[in-house]
Amino acid sequence: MNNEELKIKLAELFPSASFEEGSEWLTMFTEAETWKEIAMQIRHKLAFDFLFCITCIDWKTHLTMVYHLRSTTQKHIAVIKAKLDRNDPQIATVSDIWRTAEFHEREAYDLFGVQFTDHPDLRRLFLTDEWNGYPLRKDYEDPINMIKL
Amino acid sequence: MYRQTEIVTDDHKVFHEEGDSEGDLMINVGPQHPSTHGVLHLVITLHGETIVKVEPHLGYIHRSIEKMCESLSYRQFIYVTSRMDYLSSHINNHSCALCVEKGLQVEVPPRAQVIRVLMDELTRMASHQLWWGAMAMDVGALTPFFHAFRERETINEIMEETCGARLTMNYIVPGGVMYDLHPNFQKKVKDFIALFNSKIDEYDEMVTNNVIFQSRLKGVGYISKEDAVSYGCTGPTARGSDVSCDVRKLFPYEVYDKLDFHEVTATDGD
Repeated sequence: MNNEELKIKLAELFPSASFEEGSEWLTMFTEAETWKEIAMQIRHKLAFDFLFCITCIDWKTHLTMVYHLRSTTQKHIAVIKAKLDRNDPQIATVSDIWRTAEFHEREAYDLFGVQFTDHPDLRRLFLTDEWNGYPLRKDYEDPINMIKL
Repeated sequence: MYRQTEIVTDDHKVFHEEGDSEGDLMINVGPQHPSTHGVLHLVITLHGETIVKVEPHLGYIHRSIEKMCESLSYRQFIYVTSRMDYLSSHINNHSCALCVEKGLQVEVPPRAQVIRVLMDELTRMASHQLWWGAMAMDVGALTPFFHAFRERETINEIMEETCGARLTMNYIVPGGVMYDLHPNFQKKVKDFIALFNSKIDEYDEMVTNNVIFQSRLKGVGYISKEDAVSYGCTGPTARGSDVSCDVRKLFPYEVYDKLDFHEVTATDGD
């Protein structure tokens, strides 16, 4: 399916979602609360079986989780973004739907501090367990390792 | 009987029905270990020679590239991408350059596109030489490693003439390439291709058809197609499980849509 058909289908399934124009892949904005149901639906109804990227972006006022999905059978791609509150970022895990999410969500937790509810094993991935702070946030300070220009 | 090496956590119920039975050996692989090729810490539970449980401890090779590059310019980022995978530095440079060009909507001249593809494919061959040489070495065969590196040396010399460096080339930049090809490039590459064709049979004889190699690797580490997609496998891991994911075919960039080549997939999954 190309982007227009995909947009129609997604708008049908999720009437409250909004779309971003002007990017190569169809981008959909959702609320963090509804992410789990959306994920289940797109996995089973639209055959998005390949989650190829999970990132988090720190806009200074809020965080955004970005999920890139692809369908290996039907060859379409979608990007889903969910806005999170900076002081208490919580979103449902999708590691039971796409197994790859388990480690990627651990990374997002480690570096941004996003809490994934119902994650089977949410702990830091790269940094040691005693580390304080979330390095990839824009307000992270580290006087020893970071040089302010 | 093939056992899948599952990534498990402390909560056995969720991922893995078998618990630790008696006689299981828990050993550490790494972080410094000749086979890990870079630091990786794995805590492996072995039942005889079969791996029953693996817990990876990652982060030893986390170089904070994302954070570091927040303070670099797009042009400076090329030098970081060279070092991300130093065996195939042209390819990483190329992907960074493509990304920046897409953002800036810059058109690359056709000659530069072809040069980039040539460099990419040569790097791919060099990287694959190191891959199978090192894999043979890990399994215990030390000799093929030197055979592999002999051809890799030839590629590195070609690269050194044109790009100025053997390993971290920084040759492909946003907008095109740094310099034009060296006058000897064409002849050297043609000679190399003729040489390489004759060497492939040698490699097959030494490694692929070797009975020890086959019995050590056939059927080991099987990943089914659904698992490969669910776990987000890409590259050779996915192609070995029959998932077609070659970016050059799926999202052709530069001149790849004009080139005729096959994507290699296998169905064995091991």
